[in-house]
Amino acid sequence: MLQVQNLSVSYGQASALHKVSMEVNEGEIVAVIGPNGAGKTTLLKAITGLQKAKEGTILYKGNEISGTPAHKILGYGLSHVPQGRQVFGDQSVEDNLILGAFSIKKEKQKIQELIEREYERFPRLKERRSQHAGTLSGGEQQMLAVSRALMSDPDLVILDEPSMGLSPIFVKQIFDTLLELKKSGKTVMVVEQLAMAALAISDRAYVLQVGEVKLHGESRDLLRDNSLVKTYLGSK
Amino acid sequence: MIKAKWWIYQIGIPLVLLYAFPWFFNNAHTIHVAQTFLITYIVIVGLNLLVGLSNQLSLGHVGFYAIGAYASAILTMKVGLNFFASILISALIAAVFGAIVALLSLRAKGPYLAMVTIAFGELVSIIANRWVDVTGGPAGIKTSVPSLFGFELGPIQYMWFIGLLAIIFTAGATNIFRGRFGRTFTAFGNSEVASEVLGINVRKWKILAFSVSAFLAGVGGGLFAFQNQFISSTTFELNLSIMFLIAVIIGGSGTKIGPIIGTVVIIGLPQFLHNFVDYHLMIFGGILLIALILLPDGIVGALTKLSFFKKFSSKKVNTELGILHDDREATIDLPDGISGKLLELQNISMHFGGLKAIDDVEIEVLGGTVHGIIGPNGSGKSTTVNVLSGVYMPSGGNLLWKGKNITKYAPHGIAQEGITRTFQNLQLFEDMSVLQNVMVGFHRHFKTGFLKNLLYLGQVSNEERYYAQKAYDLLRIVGLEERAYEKASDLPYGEQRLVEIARGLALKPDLLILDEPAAGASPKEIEKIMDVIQRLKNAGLSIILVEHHMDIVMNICDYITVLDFGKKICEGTPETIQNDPRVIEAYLGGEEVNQLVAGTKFVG
Amino acid sequence: MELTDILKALINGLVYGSVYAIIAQGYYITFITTKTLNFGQGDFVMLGSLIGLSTFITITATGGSVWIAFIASLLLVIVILGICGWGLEQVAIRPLKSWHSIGWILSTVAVSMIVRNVAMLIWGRDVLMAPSPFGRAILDLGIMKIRYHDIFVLVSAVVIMLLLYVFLKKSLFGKALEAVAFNRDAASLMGINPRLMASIAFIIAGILAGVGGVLVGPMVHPGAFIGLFLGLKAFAVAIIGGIENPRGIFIGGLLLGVLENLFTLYSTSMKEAAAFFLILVILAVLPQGLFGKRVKEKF
Repeated sequence: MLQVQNLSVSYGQASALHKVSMEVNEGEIVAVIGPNGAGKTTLLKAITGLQKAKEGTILYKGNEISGTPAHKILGYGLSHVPQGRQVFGDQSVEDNLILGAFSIKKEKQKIQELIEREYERFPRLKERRSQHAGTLSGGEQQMLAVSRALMSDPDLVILDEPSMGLSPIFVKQIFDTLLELKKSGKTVMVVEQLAMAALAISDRAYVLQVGEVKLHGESRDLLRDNSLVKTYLGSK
Repeated sequence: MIKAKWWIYQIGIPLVLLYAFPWFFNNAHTIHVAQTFLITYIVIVGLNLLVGLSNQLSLGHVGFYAIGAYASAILTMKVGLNFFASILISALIAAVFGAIVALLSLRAKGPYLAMVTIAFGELVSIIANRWVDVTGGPAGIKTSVPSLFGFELGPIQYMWFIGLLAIIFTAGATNIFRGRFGRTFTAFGNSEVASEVLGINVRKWKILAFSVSAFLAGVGGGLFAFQNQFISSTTFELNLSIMFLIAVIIGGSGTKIGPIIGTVVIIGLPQFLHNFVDYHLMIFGGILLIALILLPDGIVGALTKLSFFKKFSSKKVNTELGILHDDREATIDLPDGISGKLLELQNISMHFGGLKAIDDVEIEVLGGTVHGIIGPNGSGKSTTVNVLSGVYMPSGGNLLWKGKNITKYAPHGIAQEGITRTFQNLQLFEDMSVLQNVMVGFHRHFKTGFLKNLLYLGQVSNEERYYAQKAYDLLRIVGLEERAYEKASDLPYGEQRLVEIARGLALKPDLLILDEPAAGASPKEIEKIMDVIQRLKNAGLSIILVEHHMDIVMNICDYITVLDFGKKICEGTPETIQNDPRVIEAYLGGEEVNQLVAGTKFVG
Repeated sequence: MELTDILKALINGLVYGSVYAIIAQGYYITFITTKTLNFGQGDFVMLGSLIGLSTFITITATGGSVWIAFIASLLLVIVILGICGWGLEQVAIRPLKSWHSIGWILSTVAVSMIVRNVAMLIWGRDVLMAPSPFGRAILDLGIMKIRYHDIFVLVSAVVIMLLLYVFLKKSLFGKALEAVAFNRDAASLMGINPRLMASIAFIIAGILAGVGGVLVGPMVHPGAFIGLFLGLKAFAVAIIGGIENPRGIFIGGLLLGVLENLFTLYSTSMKEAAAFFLILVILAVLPQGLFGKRVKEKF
């Protein structure tokens, strides 16, 4: 479904990704894990057009999407939940959801239905529908960010560290949601710092270190791989 | 530049041109235009120091210009001073107002800063307009014919006189440009925070930059007052401030010859457009717009990009270097080591609104050790570094340095105490060469004052050469001596990080804080950086190391503090940390989460 | 000085202040979306007032009714100034967006010079008389007299503020605009094109300037050279209120208008100086204006 080939990205003089190749198949959950600064976020940004790639190609459903500006990516059915939630803090929860549906511009009826669907997914959001998104707790903001990204009914959802700064109970809720999405036929790609948890829910995973793919394979195999802890905490 | 050459280009040739001018263009109109050109040029030289070097914005320079004009008019006509004395006094008055504007605008940024300067200019212009008893208002007041030592200066002599001043001020400006003052102006114009942590009191330096700039505008205004023996308030309007700014930008802001070219454009163009008076604004606006789009670095900036003109390249600050030696061994110059407690964080908290970025953190850093601070994203590492370097004032707790309370110190105060840092998001001085970047680091060791630099006395050039050599030695230590003359921002990321380290070392610090020195570097560069840090450690430097690359942290640090959610979760030696379940949990996800998630997988 | 004088100054101040505020909203809307603004906004106001004036006079001269003339001139001004705003963004903002702020300050000033020159060629260098749709009609309240036009301006300003508020908070496009302002990247992930939004912001700013011009025309004597003064006042208002806070700007406008006119009671020179003195004092204490956001920079 998504194919990344030899992708390299640099910020000015800084190389962030070096010849990264990976793929996501329809219906799976793919995790990208690795320590801070490994280039995980850059990878996602390059896929959804927020960051220009230096070289490499990105194919989505066979279409070349590298170089497509971010605001057009959603049109392909690919939705990105950015790191740190990035909800529109001074707008209401409901407005955030409406903005999530900006690209489909369907009739009001349809948007209302989608909003109701998201409220069902996260009843907390319904309770806080008219509250400013900036006043929500971290966990609620993450729910909102996920729901907002789902408003366009994407086929592939890309999430950037949904667990960041959340308490375990919220982490569980978010990860549960990912499993539900998979069950409902969506494809999920998730970047995570919480490697073990990400491996537990994903089918396959890529381990990134200093801008390169260090390991990849079935998540259950990686779970048993001892070298993983070392990539995180270093070796002496 | 060699001394003799300097005298020829800075003084000799301009003097000859100035002296010869009337023989070629001897009509009243041309002489008048030449006077206007020279007067405006003096103002532009001053504005270029402010806008071009220190990146400040002034849309109120007409205010200083007017103050210079009216004060000297009043001093000659009512007090009876000689015109030249009154011009100098008025320029000093303008400089004082420059300091006031700087003080008022210290914290203002962007459009707010623009507004402060506009408001000042407008206030002066309103006063000029309305305080008719003193200024004559729009009807104007008469001034005297300028005279020196009893000789009245005719138009040509007055032009010579103005030209002489212009040459002297240009020489002074050039001296400022090439010495440490120019470097410091450029430094805080490029990055205020980096200047501060190198010990530069940015507030003081901004005031100086505004004062110098206002002084020259004041001189220009004073000279203008005697050009026609008449001034009226209609001259001193916002449009003139805008014209001054246009000259700086079109000429090439921050360059040495930009002001000449910029002044030619704003004074010369209207002469050419004389026949198109109805379309004057339109043509001028069109040219300005096209120039801004096509020549973002101004005319001089565009020319220096052509290789033919490269040798004349005068963009930004140059340093007279002398010969840098490679033969003697480069050693790291460090203060005497201190054992025992160097720095203590006592219950430090930093709150942003309701968010506790760090909460009640206690850390002790011992002299001569490398102390690591690690933690996942958002754990409060950056905030801790910002508090340590004085960039943030903590909401609670105390910061003790060798037992002394430095909690309320500004960053430059902390730097004066011997603590400096590097930045995760690089804060290099982009308009300077690598060597100049490092030379800024020696700020607190420089001794020469403003006047000496203005004249560029031997003492100044000795000092420059001394520290250039020292900076070069530091570059050899980090392995960048071959890059010394390149623009800092042209280097690869990893090498830029090394420049920041060398710059910090120039301070001769007791404690160096490295904020993610390996972020964004390639594996090869990381090795280099690691090697440098290791050598600094061996030399006995105390270091705080914030880093994500655990290989570096675990291999170099003597002691590590781990933060999570703004709290210290544990500390100890690298071995302790690597085996501490709390750390593994913070980084990889806790058992709790794993079980929860794993549980759902089987249930689901 | 009598109470009626003070009352009159108050009302006058509110009327002028509300016009400044409307013009200044243009600064707000472009600044939040692009971090730039039109330093020549005042010349757009001038253009609006002159186009409005000419249209109004042409239609009334050919026998059209006053209100048809007014509405036609308003519509024409909205269209033309909207186009001007769009054009400004294309030629003076987009080509140099990534540079230092002096760049866009001077490039918009350059456009304003061209606009002023064009106005000079069409309308000449002299000031003109702009009739109000209310003529010179005056409402006599007994203790004081108010021009109907002044009441109309005040009411219009409030209506425009409300419309703007509704547009920003209730319409999808308004929400998208605010989203871009809040977080450009996140907004583009919603499928919102930030560049398009920048164009829209400048179109709205142009329209606000134009409408402000139509309203202010009969209060001042419009001419090719009134732009600088109006733009500067509006800029002062935006800065006093806090350029990223539309309500702050409105309050700032009323505040400045009222203060100015109260100062007029003492002397007209104090009126002129008031705005700038006020700014220096406010910014020295509150560098982000009265209602601006204070942000902490991260390093």
